[in-house]
Amino acid sequence: MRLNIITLSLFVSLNLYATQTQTNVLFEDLFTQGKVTNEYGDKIAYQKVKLQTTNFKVDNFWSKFHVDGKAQDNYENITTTALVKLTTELSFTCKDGGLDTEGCSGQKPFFINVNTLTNPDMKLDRLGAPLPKGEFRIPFDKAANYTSNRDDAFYSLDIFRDGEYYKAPQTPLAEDSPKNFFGYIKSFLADFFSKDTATTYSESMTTHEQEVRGRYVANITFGLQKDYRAKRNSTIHTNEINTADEQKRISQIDYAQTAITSTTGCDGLFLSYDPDSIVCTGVSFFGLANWMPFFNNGEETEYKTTAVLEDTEVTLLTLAGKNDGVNYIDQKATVDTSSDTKSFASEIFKPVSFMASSVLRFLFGENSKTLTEVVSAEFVFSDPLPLTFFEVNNDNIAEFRHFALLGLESIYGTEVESCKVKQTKTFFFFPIGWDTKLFTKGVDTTTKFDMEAGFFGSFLNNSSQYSELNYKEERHRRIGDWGNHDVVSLSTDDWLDWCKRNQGRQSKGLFGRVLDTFTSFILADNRNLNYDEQIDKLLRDDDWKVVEYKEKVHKALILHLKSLDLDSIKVGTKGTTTEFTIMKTMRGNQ
Amino acid sequence: MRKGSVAIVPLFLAISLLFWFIWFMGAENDNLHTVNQIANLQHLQDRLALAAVQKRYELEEANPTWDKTKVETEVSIYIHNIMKINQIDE
Repeated sequence: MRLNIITLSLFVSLNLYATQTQTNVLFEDLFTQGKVTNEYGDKIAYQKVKLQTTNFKVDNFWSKFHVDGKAQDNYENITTTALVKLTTELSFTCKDGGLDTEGCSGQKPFFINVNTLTNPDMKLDRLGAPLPKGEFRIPFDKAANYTSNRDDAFYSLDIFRDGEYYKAPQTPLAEDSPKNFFGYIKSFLADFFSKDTATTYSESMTTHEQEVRGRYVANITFGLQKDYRAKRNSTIHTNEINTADEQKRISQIDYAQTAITSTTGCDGLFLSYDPDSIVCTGVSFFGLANWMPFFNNGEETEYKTTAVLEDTEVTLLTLAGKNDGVNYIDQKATVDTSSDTKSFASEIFKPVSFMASSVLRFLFGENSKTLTEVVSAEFVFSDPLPLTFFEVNNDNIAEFRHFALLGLESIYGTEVESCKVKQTKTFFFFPIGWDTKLFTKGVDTTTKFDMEAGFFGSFLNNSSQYSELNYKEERHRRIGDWGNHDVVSLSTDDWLDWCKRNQGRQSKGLFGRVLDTFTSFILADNRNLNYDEQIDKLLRDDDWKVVEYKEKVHKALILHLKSLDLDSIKVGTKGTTTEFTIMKTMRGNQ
Repeated sequence: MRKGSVAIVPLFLAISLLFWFIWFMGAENDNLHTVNQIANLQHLQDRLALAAVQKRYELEEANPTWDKTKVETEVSIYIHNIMKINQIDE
């Protein structure tokens, strides 16, 4: 009996279920046919989708008036099959930026020459070892250095945008809803770096340059505006700078390179693109404290950087931070509470042992050998940002290259200019006068130190303390002081290296010096000092101090890229946008 | 009155024609009727094809672990619900 009830109810429910109208969706696998990219370099794929409505019932009103009329028609299977074209571009943050999709695309304003990706130098890591297959480290280079056969750098482009896609509106907008580009980038920076950010234009920029800068940063952030995208085989005017216009003219880009103005103090790293702009007295701290542009750090220092390289780096770093949800600046920085200064953690601040020639070219010009110290800050992104570059062959866009930005490296190279040193002369502990010397890079000098001077000179002398230095015996005749003396010679470079190490450092003072001498003499401190330590000791004993130290710090940028083949660009990959278009539909019914 | 009784003939014919028309529709014109409904359904399917594809990639992005069948089922449920709102599915 119970079985019968179950059977019956099963039958009834099956019957009911079978006659219910139901729509199902069936997908075929994604496929490609014909061209795999469009003229803008975007990936094209196709998707077939089938919508199938079963048991579609139609009630017939009129049937009630005729014996043959059917009350209800049942259509078992009504289908529509659509072929949908998926156009995927490597574009990012259009929605978030408050722009409509016309303002964004996958193309970025960067280009490389056609042989760059086959250049073996671009496939080496920072230590000169080969990178995994498909990975590249490509340095930035400025427009002025460009020639059509450079295959070791990437360059930036000026490509037009309509005003509305990057200019600030007349009336200020609410903080929480940035509708324009600068509102957007400002909120980025406010979120990620500091609440007190202010975007400033350097006074030295012309209105035209400001416009160029605005669209450049916008082009990196959002990709080119749809209307001004470049097509394959179109021309780039590589011999022109900042001449982009509504007629889709594309040129190289460059603008004012006044990087930083320092008003007081000299803590931190000084970026100088203008060789004469930095004069810093008593640099005491070599850190990356305030290197971010757009930044006003307190009242002490005002930084204005408007260089193309700086904008490129900050924009990419900000975007990657946005993409990863990580603040790449704060995470790497530590705060020194005693001096309340920020410095970068040492692990990302490494000496550079291998550099491509283009980095050197960018830092110091083609043949410069004045490089004294090169360090880098390296950022590795957890969720690589996709970028599309132009590959240019003789001013023609030959192909579009897709990359994932694995990381970037900021390189700082120091070039010493000059050092002024001062010695306080004493006579029985009383200061009796000063001696100053100025050493300028490239001007050779020799300073001699008699190691056995004075009444007890030869008695107190300990030759192991200058054994590494350049010294020789010189004949010396004075009353009460006969014999041969060791004389050490220091060159300009010795002095400059010493300045670098001792800038801003407090001299030990008289007591400290006496104690040092005492210790080394009485305790026979004969441990082997290296070259630098021996110079340090020699000059400290002689009471020399750094008064003014001038150096220029140059900056370079290397992008760590991974080539993306079209297969790996998938719909829905983070940082991509896909447009769906129906190509055709096919209908079927029974 | 006599004149009036003549006038009832076309009226009668007209009423007969109306009844015939109703009877005729009951048997024949269901075809016209259903063609319209199916065209509507297919038009709706057209519109939903794009939504289905978009939904698919949205779901795949949000749930990378799902296999194709699971995604297909979820998209079907999504479309089914839209069909219900449009009074097609039950």
